[in-house]
Amino acid sequence: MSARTKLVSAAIAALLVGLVAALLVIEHQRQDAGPAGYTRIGALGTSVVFAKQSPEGKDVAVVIRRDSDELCNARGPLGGAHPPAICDESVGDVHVYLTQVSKGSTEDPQLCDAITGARLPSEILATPASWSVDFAGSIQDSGTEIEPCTDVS
Amino acid sequence: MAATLACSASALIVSTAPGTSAATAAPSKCSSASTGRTEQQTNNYVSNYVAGLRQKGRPQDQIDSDLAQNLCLVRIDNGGATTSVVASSAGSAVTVTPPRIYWDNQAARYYAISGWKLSNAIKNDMPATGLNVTKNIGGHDGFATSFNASLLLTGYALTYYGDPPFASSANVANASAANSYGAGYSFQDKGRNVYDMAGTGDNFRTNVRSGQEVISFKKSGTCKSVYGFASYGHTWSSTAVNGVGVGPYSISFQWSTTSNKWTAASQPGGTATVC
Repeated sequence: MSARTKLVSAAIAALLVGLVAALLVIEHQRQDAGPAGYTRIGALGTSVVFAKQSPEGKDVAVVIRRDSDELCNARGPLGGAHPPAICDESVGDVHVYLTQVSKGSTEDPQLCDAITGARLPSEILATPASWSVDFAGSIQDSGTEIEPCTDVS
Repeated sequence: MAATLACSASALIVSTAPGTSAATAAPSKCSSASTGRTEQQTNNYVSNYVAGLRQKGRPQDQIDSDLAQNLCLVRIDNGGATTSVVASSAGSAVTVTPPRIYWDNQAARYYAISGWKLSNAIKNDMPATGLNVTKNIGGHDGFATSFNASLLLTGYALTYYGDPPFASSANVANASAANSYGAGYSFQDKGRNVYDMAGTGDNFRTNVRSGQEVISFKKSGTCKSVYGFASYGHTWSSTAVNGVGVGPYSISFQWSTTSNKWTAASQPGGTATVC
């Protein structure tokens, strides 16, 4: 192989690597950007949580994405005394649960395995300062169904 | 025995207590929906009855008044949220009404009634088709109601009603999920494009335009504050609701794929003291 051929091959390889890297960056940015009008709130494991408030501030809409999968696309009331879970759904063995918590709360949202009652790990996602609530949630990949604990004390 | 008597008295007091949305007791001439009917028949009857009122465009206060006058169902929750959620995603929108709680003193049964109404935006989820052809809009949709407390459920029913030429009302035979915290259903939503004869832009019909779920439960002997919420799960294209789950103040949907779907939860409903 001539030096010229080696040089061209190296250039092509570098271009391909650059192209792949660029595509990865674009995909990452696409995931980070989220749907139009939504704010990136945080992540549950490897899934990204986006949310937006309705203009009148009564409702909240949430989209949770993992790679190209949309695990949740849901809407519910914003805040209040007993807000229901925004996301509580599963596809295959993946179950995602997301609920609202008081702004600044560090309390365990107390999510449990619906079958065994065992306490499940959860994460609190702090929202921007303009929001009146934070979020807390959990994702289980093992077929575990998540629900609020019933033996809350 | 003392607890039972106390609870009975409490339920009677609640059903007539001023300051709630049910300030008046059921009139003596009313006839309980349960008269001559099984638990399931009663739930279907109440659901169809409410469907008829909603199809006539009656507002909530008139529905409450009618239920008290004719079926002895006195609303006992404190009103709670008066607004519902409108979900808008991929062109679809729905209003979800949380459970309103009623007491039938004749039958000694509580009833909770929640519901939904879809807007015409759902036509955007229709597969391409010609006029007067009925098509499924994706796979099954789902609807469920859940409460914060464990209840002694005695029955449940879900009725949906469509635009002509679809059936004015249909009951879903079997629930997808039911336990002491509530019940959920899945059902096939369909659409049909029709000729807009009047030129009003109204050329879409669906079989599930509105609907409601009725859940009945009986006295437990222990008084508790009960409230609930409802949720609608919608799909289109190749996505379907594969399952519905109900837990303590929890409604889950299981989807066949990760795309072409949304859920909308209602506000929490008003709180009622049930015993």
